[in-house]
Amino acid sequence: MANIRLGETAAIVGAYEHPTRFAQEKSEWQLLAEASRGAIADAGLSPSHIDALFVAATAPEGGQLGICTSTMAADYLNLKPKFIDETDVGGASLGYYVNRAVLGIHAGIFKCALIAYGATTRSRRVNVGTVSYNQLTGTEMVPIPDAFEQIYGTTVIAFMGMLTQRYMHDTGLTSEQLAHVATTMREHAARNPDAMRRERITVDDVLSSPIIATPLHKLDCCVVSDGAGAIVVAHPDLFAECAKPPVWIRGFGEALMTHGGGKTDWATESREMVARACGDAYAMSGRRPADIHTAMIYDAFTFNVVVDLEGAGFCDVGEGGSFAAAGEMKLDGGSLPVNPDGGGLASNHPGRRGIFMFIEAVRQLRGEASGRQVPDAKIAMCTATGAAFLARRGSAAHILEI
Amino acid sequence: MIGTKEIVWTGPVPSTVVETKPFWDACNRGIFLVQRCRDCGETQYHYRGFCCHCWSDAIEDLAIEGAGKVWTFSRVLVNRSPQFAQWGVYVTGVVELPEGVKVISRILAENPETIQIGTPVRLAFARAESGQKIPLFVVQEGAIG
Ligand SMILES: [Zn+2]
Repeated sequence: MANIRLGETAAIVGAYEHPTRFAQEKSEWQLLAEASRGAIADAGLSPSHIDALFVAATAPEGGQLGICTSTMAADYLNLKPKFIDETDVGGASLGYYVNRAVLGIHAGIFKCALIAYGATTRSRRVNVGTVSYNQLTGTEMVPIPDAFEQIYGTTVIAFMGMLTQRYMHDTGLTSEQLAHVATTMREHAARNPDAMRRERITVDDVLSSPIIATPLHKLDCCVVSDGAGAIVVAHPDLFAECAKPPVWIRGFGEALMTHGGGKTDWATESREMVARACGDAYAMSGRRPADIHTAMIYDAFTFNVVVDLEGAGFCDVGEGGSFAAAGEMKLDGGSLPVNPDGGGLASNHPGRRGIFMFIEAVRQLRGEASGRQVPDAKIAMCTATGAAFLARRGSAAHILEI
Repeated sequence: MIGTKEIVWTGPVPSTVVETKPFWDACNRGIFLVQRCRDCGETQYHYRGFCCHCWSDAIEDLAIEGAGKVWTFSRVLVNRSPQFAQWGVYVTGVVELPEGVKVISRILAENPETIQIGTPVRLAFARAESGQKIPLFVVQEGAIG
């Protein structure tokens, strides 16, 4: 049973999304620093308040922050945190950092955590989804497990294609339903001046875009941007010094899936993993799916949104596609506005989008999301699944409240 | 026709360690090994030095019969890695074996567009320039209705 007091431990007090989506003239370190400065300024705090640092690697997406990520970032930022972490669960990593920040604050180890990310994936022309994993990470294909898998041409999108294919077979999900996820994200992005792709698209546009790996089309896949973002997670002792009202982290959960020695049903387990993470977040916060006003769902691919809708309990299993096609995720008239910023499909996805979900949730809960504000949003959920090579994946879920 | 002549492997060649060498050596004899645990009775793939189900060392090799069914697949139209440049459009997939495990592999077919979940496939081996045999699965002609 989740410790209910964890939901009263810490809040997000600062958040900043770098407006850039293409920053050829800057290093990823500089973007990370600018985002960190923005988040600390948004909080009304100063770098001297920061006593914990969490920074995601970029090297697995072709960036330059590889090993010892937090230490190297601390050096660049000239910080001396007493606690660091760089747990790597792909794009979900940022959510894992939020969990670790809450735990560290709960344990009394530190009071003010900076969680930061910056990447120049677009200006470095990294083909994130369409090269072999080892080329992406700049590493050799190792004997275990790569030699048994990657020699067969399993790119990121090929893996997601395999997963989507099986999910369609099992639940009746269709390509047309998935296309509605993409059109909805573009519709939202049109209302976000910083979004990378703001032109509207139709379902036919998605379905007639080139197939990358069946059944996924180009427009089922996220944008590849340069980008940076940061949030500050703080102990209530600091709230009086902060510029804006705290956004409480009321509940969180995380869950892993693996290949299970060749036994795992990737499709079912992908959803059940999300359900486990969300179940813990609901239990900790005392909230239910019906309580959520807006959801930030990690949309590296249209398919991920369907899995998370079902896993989080926003609809029944097998109904995620029809939920999307019925317009339930839309800012205009939807029962659960999803990714009002346009998500990874249309706004910002350098490789590890997790941080941007928290930032948009904070903007929505504070009422700062001008042009795309979900009216009276007081409770937001974030769900993210990230991958560490094929079906070795992790999900994070969060319930945020103001 | 696939299956009547030797299949040439043009992709990456697997690296090995002592732990996985028996698997790749068996491939060179035309044998695909999964493993079965003498303690818990479970099978596992990929090849490794202990049972991932019960953590016993008492695992033994189990040569698969060679039949399988497509559990899922993706026809890959875009792979920009130079290592796969010669492949063109190819199918990567997961094959379900009656021995109780699912295997990531490459699936060859005369008409790749007709591959479906459930399509029967048969173990085959391709030969790399180094001489190493690489296991993959081939759709049996006439197996697709
Ligand atoms: Zn065992």
